[in-house]
Amino acid sequence: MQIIPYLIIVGGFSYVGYGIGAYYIKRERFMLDIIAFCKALKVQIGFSSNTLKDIVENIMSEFSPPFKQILKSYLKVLKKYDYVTVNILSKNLNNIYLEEAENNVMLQLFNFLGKSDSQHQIEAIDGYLYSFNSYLLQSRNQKIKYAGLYKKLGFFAGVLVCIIVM
Amino acid sequence: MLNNVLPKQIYEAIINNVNYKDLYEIRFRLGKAICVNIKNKLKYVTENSLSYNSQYAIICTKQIINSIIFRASDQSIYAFNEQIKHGFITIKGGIRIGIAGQAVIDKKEVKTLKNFSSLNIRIPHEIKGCSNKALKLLLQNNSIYNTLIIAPPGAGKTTFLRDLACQISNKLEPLNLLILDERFEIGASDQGVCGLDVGNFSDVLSGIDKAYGFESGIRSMGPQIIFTDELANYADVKAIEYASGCGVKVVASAHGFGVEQLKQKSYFNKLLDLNIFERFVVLSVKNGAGTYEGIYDSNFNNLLN
Repeated sequence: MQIIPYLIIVGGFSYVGYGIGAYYIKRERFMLDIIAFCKALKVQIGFSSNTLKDIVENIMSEFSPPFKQILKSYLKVLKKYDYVTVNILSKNLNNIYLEEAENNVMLQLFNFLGKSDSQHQIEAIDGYLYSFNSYLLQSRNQKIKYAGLYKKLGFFAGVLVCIIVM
Repeated sequence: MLNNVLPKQIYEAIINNVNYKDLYEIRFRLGKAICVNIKNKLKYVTENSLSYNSQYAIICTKQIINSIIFRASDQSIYAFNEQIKHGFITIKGGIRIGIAGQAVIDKKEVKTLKNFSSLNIRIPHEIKGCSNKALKLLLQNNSIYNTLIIAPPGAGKTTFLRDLACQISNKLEPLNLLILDERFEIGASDQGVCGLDVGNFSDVLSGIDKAYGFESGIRSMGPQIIFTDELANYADVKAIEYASGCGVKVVASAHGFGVEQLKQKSYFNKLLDLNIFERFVVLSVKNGAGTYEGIYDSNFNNLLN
């Protein structure tokens, strides 16, 4: 029976470690979603000329929950405000997976959407794609480096605490 | 429909103080007072009403213009760029927003407009029976003469054209009518559904230029009569010539004050030389929009006299 508290401690620390490790996995997935979204935008804007609301509503289901939430919030902004600005977007589009500079680039992308002709939109989206691809590489490296590390760290930290308590 | 594009304050100031059917235009000019045309009388939009005095008028800002265009294009300017580069966006109900700004030109072609500076929101009106007076002079057995409607802007060309299509569609034995609605103003088509009555036997081809529309429309829909708005260049004249050569009757409209003035335009001279049009209906705003100035035959005899 005495082993149960120790198991709980190891389990708790492992869970925290797993959570931090999973953050890096989700962060990479978030980047992949932004890139997929940009590619879908390029096709939809360039060929079918669908409106932003239609595009977002049609493709939203294809993304993971964190990015889906961003798209839902963006849709609300489009419906609520006469004219979208970075300020409005920064108050409504929140996420924990991007660093500040990356988040600013994402807000700039959403702010730019719909405000010019298709040629200009596509050229700009290409620029954003370039940035997000480099962020993806960064997030992938972080995942390789930290995802497994934090999982192990959590476990060993739990074991260490158990040893100290004993 | 207007509430979808206008800022709330401006919309309420207008709609609470004017009968919608009397509202012709709303004008926005950057840095100038916002004004409305009510039955060809000018009034200024103030914070909560309309006034003949510009002193308390709301001054149009860049933000107001941008927000109207952004909302009119459903937050997707690129999706309306074909219209914008021709200087307009048409929204639900056939409301046309004319746009002025700076043209972006690439390889001698207008790519788009930017730095929007003025907007002219034109409200379409459906006036049933406004073509009654002309109808009997335009009919030929169970069809219609090739007819050109000539009028200055705001004199009711499109309203006349729409009513004529409706009357022919309802009164004559079933004839297939094709309406080439380049600017979405005749049928006010939205997602395939006409917002304004164009009769029971009319097919509406929207957002298409006349040259392509005449050719593909005749091939695909087999119309007996084609209705189209605002002939404006040689390509349109060519399209009319093509339709006439196919044995299809044409009813079209053009900007002008009369036949004599139209002759000064080189492309109309060509059209007149071809002797395609057999009737000319001239409208003006003399006694309000849709005033008949004359209905002329191909020898330019006024049939109203």
